[in-house]
Amino acid sequence: MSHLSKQQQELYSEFLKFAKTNVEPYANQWDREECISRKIIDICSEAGYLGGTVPAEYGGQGWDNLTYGIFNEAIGRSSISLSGLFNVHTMIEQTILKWGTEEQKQRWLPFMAKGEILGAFALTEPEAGSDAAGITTEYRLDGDKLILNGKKKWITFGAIADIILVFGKLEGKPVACIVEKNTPGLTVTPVKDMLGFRAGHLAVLQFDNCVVSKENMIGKEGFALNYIALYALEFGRISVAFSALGLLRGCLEICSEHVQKRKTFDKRLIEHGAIRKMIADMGVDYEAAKLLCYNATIAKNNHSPDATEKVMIAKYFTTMAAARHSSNAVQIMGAFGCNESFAVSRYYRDSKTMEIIEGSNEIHQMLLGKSFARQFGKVTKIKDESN
Amino acid sequence: MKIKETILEFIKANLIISQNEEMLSDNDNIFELGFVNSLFAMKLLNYLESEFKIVVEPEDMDISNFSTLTNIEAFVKNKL
Repeated sequence: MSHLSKQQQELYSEFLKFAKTNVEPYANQWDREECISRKIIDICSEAGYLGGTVPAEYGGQGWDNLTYGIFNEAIGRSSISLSGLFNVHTMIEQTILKWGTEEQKQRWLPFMAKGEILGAFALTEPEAGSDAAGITTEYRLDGDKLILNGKKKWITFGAIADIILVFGKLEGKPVACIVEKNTPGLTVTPVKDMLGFRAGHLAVLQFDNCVVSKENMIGKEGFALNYIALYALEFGRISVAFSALGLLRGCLEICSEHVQKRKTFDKRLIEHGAIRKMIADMGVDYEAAKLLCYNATIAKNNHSPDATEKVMIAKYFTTMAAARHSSNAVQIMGAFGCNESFAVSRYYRDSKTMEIIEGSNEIHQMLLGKSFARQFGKVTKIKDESN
Repeated sequence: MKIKETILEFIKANLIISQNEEMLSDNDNIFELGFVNSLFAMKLLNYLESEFKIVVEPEDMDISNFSTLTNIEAFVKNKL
């Protein structure tokens, strides 16, 4: 906890207490029903958590990135599906804050901060995921309006969002506009039967000749993918990384209690070498992941040029660790781990999904692999030249 | 160090991998040369804001502002 300020430590305790009281008891039920309840969203709104990273001048809490991270860790420990709400909602808030006009900020941020308007991020399409440049959703200029046609899929909280940041192309240039849920021509279809994030209100969004005001365009034409989407996704990756950290912590807590109580062959489970190794690896990876997550958000707080890489590293490592150790957690818990009434089986399913969202881990490998080769390849070249 | 040299050092450290690419001249378009990937675009944004204590605003989002060394230098000078 030494990386956290006194205020952050107090907030972390508050977040954990909040999650234990308001989230954990209901998480399995939400998962079975494939639906986060409106009640918990209202409770989060009242606590000010929907406006966590929004500056006070727009009605938010003004959290820094590390505080936002530890909030996600606390929520992720109890419900990955709920952490998805803060993920996408914050992505939209931060996008408007960075790239929106003052009028756009005044129009949406105070209401989003209070949870009166929920946001969703619509980039993925049925035929375009990691290859975002392949999106076919189209905006067409018609006087001072834009006409939107296309289809988005797997949109987290898309089924209940009030506004959606929809990426498409206008005369071939990527653009992003805020589309309101009551826009004629927008059809929202909930997606069910997901492996993970089952309570995350995923949806298919079909846009048929939707009329969108040009005033709803965020940023300039041509920058929606390279700057607006990536800027937003960086906040998404912080949320996913820290939520996965919370999931990892959950595995560690549940398994640690179990292996000290449960006996087999007249010995507690922790006395068996194979079990002890799994717990050791789980704990070591939790500590390593925590440092990477903290390091990434401190870099982002400082506007460090390498913040983007550090956030990617944290997301990549932590989600892989969460997937590996939630699998081990199921193994340790045995039949309990295979039953939907216990959190570990939910962790197992959610963790796999976290390796895919906000940039699949293979996309992270492509970008980080090249980046590390460049970074360390230069050292080799300097040595060669000195010889 | 002058602004242009500072930016060039950053680009060399973060964008260039082969010796041929190190021949980048002041007016080469780094986007057209294919030097830019999504990671670099975000790093450049963070770098300019942190190194020169400026804020890149929505109205600054013009591809020409970031396309060449000369243009990036002019953009930064204009913001200072």
